Amino acid sequence: MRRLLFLSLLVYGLIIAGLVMVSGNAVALAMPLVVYLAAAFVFSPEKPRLVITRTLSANIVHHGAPATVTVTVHNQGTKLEEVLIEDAVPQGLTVTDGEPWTQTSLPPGGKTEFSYVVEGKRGNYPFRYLRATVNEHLGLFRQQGWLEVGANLMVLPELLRLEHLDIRPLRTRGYAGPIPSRLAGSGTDFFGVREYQLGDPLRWINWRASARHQHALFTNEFEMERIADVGLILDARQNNNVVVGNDSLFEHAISATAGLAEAFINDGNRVGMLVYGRGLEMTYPGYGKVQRERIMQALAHARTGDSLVFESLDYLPVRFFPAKSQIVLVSPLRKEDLSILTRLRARGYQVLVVSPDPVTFEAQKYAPLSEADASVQLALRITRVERELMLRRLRRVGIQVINWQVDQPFANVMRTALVRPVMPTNRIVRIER
Amino acid sequence: MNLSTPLSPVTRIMTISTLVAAAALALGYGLNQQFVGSLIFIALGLLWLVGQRYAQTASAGLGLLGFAVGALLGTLYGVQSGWLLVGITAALVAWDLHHFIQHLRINEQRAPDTENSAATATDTETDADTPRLDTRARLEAEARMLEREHLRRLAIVSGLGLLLGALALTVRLTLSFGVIVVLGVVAIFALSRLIRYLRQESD
Repeated sequence: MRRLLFLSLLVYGLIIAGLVMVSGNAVALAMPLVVYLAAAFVFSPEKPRLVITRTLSANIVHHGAPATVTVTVHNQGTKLEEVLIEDAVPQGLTVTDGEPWTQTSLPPGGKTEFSYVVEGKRGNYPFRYLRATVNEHLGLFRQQGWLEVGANLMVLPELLRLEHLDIRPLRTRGYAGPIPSRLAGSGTDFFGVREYQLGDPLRWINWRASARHQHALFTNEFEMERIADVGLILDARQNNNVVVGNDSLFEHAISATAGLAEAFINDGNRVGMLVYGRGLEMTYPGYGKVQRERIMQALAHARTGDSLVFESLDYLPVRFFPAKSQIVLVSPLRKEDLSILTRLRARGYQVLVVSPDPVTFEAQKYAPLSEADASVQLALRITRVERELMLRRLRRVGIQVINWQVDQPFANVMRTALVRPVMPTNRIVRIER
Repeated sequence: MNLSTPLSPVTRIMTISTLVAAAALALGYGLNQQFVGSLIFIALGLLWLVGQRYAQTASAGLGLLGFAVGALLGTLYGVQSGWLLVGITAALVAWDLHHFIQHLRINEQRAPDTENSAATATDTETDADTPRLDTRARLEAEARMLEREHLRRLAIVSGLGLLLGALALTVRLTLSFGVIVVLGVVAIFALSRLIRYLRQESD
């Protein structure tokens, strides 16, 4: 635009000067500029009629996986001498290959296509607008417009893969699974002995017990293994989150929740999830791959938030979780949460708390300082002691607590913490005289 | 990506045009025994070349303005009009190419350094598995095509301008004072219309 104005003023300047000086030569000097302007005007672009489609190689990708965005442009209008198409890449996505723009020439009915690759952190990324700028070759006249072409890319959270998790809820569901149900039936683990009943397989007869009684036979019983209801609670309260540089404790909690959800669903359990913070974001209990996708998508959207109502866990919707089921809370925890967790335990829920350690996480921030500063060292020590005391109080009421220092591999921490206690074997101790 | 090597024909043409513009005006003034004027235009041409070297956008506008004013003054001092016409046409070409190169440089800054990104791609498993897009080839092809089209259009426009200018210098019309006044009014009216149009466009 500035070029057009400049050139126009120059042309008029020359012509007016020629008229003032009554000099045809001066007017003739303006001729090349006039032709230049006229050519630009004659070829000035009309409003472009473009049909643009944007396709993504996948609408949902896992953390760290790239997605290819392909933009196809069809020209349904007159010839576009120079057209620049720029895709507005949503904030948070990084272009790792290719470029989100193209500049080319399009004849009537012509088509062009460009692709680029994006990667991003967990979240939902709506693509909306593309900008089209059209000008003639000399670049004096220009048309520009925004075109709305919707698409959506969801990046699922990072998944911390876990093996089978041993949990012991008080109540299980009716289908076969990996969780000991505290009920006798078909299974593999020895559960008890009962009197023989007609139809019991002979290989189940406990001959040692039967030998002690003359007129009775006894049969071994096994513990049934069933699936269970598992309720995951992700603490998304802003006050509980700790951010050190670009790293956030909440992101670690998300990854842990994703890993737990996948492990429980892979074991066949019915899993539901509640994100507690900004509000109550519920994923109703379900089974299988579909449920896994639902939970991953809910985790992809999860954000921390402040709410006066949900500042404490007092408004936890307990009815969301079936009675006596397994509840897994992923939270850095705070002192005020003890009472509600104790209440949950008292109601018969089996509660497992996975607590990403905020003290160690935040200590990274003071790491260079802490070596020199004794007061920081003391403060850290006091905070660690306070946290340890809080966790001990939880353990004392029968809540399993896993204190996870996020720099440690989550799978290792879980395997160590949830190892099934080994029953003591009957050993004969010979005392030598 | 470095687009400077393929752009060198455009840069060469721009440099030649600047030199031609300076030489034509200097020669015109020199033949008219006005050597100070010649020196001024040689200096102006050199300054413009320095501006082009350091990608100073303002230097293009100032250069064209300087040569246009110089050509206008040349008509007053009786410099042969052919030199002036060649000078102003060459300056117009240089001014256009200066902006065109700036325009392509913006694209150059946008373009990815695929060689470097390919080197880092081997560092991660994900990138190594992903097929690389041939962005460099696409952008270079597009740049070459636009460059060709631009030069073609510019050659036609400047040739036609030169031809019409030469025609205007040879054909003599005698206009009365009234006609000149009318033409002046039309010019002012057209200027006001243009400014209005530009303001509407900028809104």
